[in-house]
Parts: sequence; structure tokens; C-alpha cells
Amino acid sequence: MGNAEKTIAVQVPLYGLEALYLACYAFLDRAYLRLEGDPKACVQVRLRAKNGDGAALDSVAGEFENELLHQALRTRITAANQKIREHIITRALASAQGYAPETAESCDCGASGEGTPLAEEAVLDADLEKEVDKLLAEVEKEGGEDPLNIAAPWEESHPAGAAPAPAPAKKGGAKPKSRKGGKRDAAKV
Amino acid sequence: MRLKFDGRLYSRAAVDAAAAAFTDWAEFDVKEKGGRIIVAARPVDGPLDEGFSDEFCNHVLGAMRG
Repeated sequence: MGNAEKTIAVQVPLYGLEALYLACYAFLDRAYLRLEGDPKACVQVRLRAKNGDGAALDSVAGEFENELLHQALRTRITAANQKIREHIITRALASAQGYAPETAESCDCGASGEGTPLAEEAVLDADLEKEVDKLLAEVEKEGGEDPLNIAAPWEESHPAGAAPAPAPAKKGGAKPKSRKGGKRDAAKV
Repeated sequence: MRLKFDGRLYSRAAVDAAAAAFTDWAEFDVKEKGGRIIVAARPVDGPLDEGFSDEFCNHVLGAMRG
């Protein structure tokens, strides 16, 4: 363990206290850190490298300053994107629960409005349902070909006591049988 | 061994968490005075290692995360 120590003065209004803590966390495994000073003005970070000599300490100190910049930028971007992230998550949760997502007009997130009024969305949903019904009818009409036996339940396709499925072919070994037809059918569905 | 932490930069909860994590090596007495958190450590078995205070301080910093 080296005894050399380096003190870095961090202007908190410039970087932010959060960024300072995050940078410190990133270096806990490489250096011993102590914080002193005024968290509203200037904080001194006392650094001592866990391994190595003075050169290692210089390296760690330089990397710490870079990490500080990186974390300051990261916290700024995080703060700037907070509203839009909340909006996306709200929409995703609302969609998953079956509620109509809120419109852009009622959203105060400042995001560019892509949403449509609820009535229009209902019409869209009705159109979508019709389209899905149409596709299902087409599949049924074609006979629902299932060359890979995907639609069969597990119990039917793998009866008790049956031999386990063969191991996948090794690299350079025999190529598996072509599934051209099956693939095309699957793409249709 | 006595360690002092600035109460504006370190939280009491983080110091307590670190003290709880190091009870195998030392007994701790944590006090707050004049905006500082003062930790007195008494070794449980034999003298404390040279790097004990450094490791303890790092642990406190890490505990600030929670």
C-alpha cells in the first residue's frame, strides 16, 4: 500500500455533489478516498492509491478527474431527460394495463405531441382488431400448416418416456434440414 | 483510534452502517459534535491493521449510496 497522497479540490457548483459522490464510488476499489470541505463551495478529495507508487497515484488522480466530468455530464443528462423517461414509462405501464395512454395535450412533459385524442385511438383500435381478425381468418383458411409442430402442446409432442431431443449439430457438421416452406408460412402469419 | 467525518458530507447512517460491518475487528462509539461525526474504535483482538481507517472511510463512502 502506497503512502503517497494527493488532494483534488472539486468546485461543487461546477460539478455537483451527486457527480462527486458517483465519481468516488467508481474509485472505491482502486483508491482510499476522504472528503473534506464545504459541500456548497469546494470539497477536497484526498486520494491514496491502493496499489502502486506515485506514478500510479498520478494516474488514478487523472482518471478520477475525468470520471468526475463524466458523472457531471451524466447527472445533467439524467435530469434533462427525467420528464420524458417518466412519460415513456407511464405510457408503457398504461398500455400494459389496458388503459388508453394519456394524450400529448394533457401531458406536461414538454415532449413533442404524437398522441391522438382518445376517440381517434378507439377507431384505430377497432381497425386494428378488424385487421387481426382478417389475418386469423386467412391463417385458418390456409389450414394452419405447422411443419415444426409448434402448435402442439408439450405433452403431445414429448410423451413421457420418449427419447430426448437430439443435440444441436456441431459446427462444420451436417447442416440441418432446410425449413424454407415452414419459414415462409411463419412469415405469412 | 479516532476518526472524524464532516457531517455535511457524510451521513450518520452511513457511519453506523460501516461500524456495523466492522464489528469483527473493533468496537465502535459513534458521536456527533459540532457538525462532525466522531468515531472511536477499540480493537477487539490485537492491534488494528495499518489500513483499517482507510478501509473504514471507504466503507462509509460506499454506504452513502444507500
